Amino acid sequence: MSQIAQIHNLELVRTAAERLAGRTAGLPGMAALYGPAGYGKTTAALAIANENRAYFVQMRSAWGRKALLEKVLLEMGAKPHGTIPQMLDQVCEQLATSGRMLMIDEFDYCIRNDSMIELVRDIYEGSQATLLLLGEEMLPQKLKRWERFHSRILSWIPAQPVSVADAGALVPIYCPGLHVAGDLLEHLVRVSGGSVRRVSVNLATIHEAASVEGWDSVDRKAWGERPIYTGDAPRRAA
Amino acid sequence: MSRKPITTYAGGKGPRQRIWEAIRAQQGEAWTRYHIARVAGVEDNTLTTYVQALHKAGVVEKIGEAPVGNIAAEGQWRLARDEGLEAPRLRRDGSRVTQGFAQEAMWRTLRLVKDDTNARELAAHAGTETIPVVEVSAKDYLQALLRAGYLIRTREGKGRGNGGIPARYRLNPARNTGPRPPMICRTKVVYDPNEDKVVWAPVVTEEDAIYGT
Repeated sequence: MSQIAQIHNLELVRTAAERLAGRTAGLPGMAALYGPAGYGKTTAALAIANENRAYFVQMRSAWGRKALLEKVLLEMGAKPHGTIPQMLDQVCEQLATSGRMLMIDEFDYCIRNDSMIELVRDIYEGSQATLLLLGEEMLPQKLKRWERFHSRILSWIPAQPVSVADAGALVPIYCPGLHVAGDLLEHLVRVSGGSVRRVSVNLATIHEAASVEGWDSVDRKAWGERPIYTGDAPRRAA
Repeated sequence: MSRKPITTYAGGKGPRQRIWEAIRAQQGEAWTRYHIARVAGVEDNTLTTYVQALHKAGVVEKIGEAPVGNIAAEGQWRLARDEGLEAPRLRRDGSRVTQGFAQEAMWRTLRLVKDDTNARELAAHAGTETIPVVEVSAKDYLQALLRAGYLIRTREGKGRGNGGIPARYRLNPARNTGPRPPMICRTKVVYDPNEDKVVWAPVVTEEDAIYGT
C-alpha cells in the first residue's frame, strides 16, 4: 500500500512546475515558493523533484559561487573541476540537454550579495532551464533590488498554512489504523500556527499514545490535557 | 584544434554509460559503431543493442553508409538529440525504463529531509503517482541501507503492524555519498554507484553453498 499526502502546497508547486515546463517561448522560466519555516516548502518541492527527477540543492550560508556550482555539478552526477566560468558552462549545458529542473532551497543565502544573484541568473540565462527557488516570507520584497532577476520570475507562490484538509491527508501516514476525530484535527491545526511540521509531529505523538493506550479512535476529549507541541518557548512555571 | 572539455560522469560506469560518453565525445560529428566499440571497450552485441534502442528513441540517426575497402560498407551515425550526462535508459524498442526510480526517489528524500523518518513516511514522501513506493519496499531499502552503514537508527521499533511503532532512521551525514542511489543487488549485496564499490555483502559460509541460504 502506498500513501501520498496530497497537501495543498504540493498542488501549488505542481501547478507552477507544469506552467514553467509548458511556457511559451519568451516567457520567464523561474518560479519562487516562499513562506515561513515549517510550512512544508521543502517537502512539497521534494515531492515534485521526485516526480520529475529535478536537481535539488540546499544552499548553505558558507557557500560562495564556486561551492554552489560544485554542489550543483555533484548533484548532476558530474565531477566538478575547472574554473567558475567552466563549471558554469557545464551546469548550463547539462540543464539544457537533460531538460531537468533545478531547485534551490534556502535561496535567502543567495540574496546577501550581488554576485550570487548574478550567478543564478547566469545559470538561468545560459540554460533557459526551469528553476524553482525556495525561500523565506520576505523573498519577493528582498529580490526587488535586482530588477533584472525579479522580472524573470514567472510565478510567485506563497506557501499556504496547513489546513484541516491537509491534516486529514496526513493522518493515514502518521497515524495508520487510527481514527482521529475532526475536533482534534481542528485543534491541532489551530495551535500549529500554520506549520505542517508541527501537525506531523503531533500526529506522530498521538499515534504513539494510541498504541500505548490501545485506542482505535481518538478525539479531543480522549486526548484531554496531554501535551501538544506548539513550538512556543516554555512558559515560566506558575 | 581546441575542443571544449567534456563534463565527466562521476562514479561507476556501465557499458551503456561508456557508449553514451563515447558518442557524446564525437560532438555531433559522424561515427561508426566500430569506432565507438573501440573507444568504449564494449562487446559488439552490447553496442548494437544500445544503438538500436537509441535509434528507435530518436536519439541517434543514421546518416549514410561509408565504404570499407572494396566491397563492404559501414553505417555512419550521428547524435541527433543530446540528453546530457546520463546515458538514456531505454528498452530495445526505444521506450523509457523507469525501473530503479523508486529507490532514487527514496535516496533523494533521505538526503534532503532533515528530520528522521520511518518506512511509512518515507514511502509517502518518495512515492509519486507515476512511480508509487510501497511501504514494504521502503522498509527493505531502509534496512539494507542501515546494514550498509548509511543510516543512523534514531529509535528502535516496537511491536508489529498498525499497533506497533516502526523504527526511525536518518541519513548518516558522513555517508551522503552522492546523487545516485545505493543499489540492492539480487544477491543482497549493496553497491554504491557514487563510489563504484560494493559497500556491504552478506556473510557466506561453505554450508550456504551446499544447502542454500
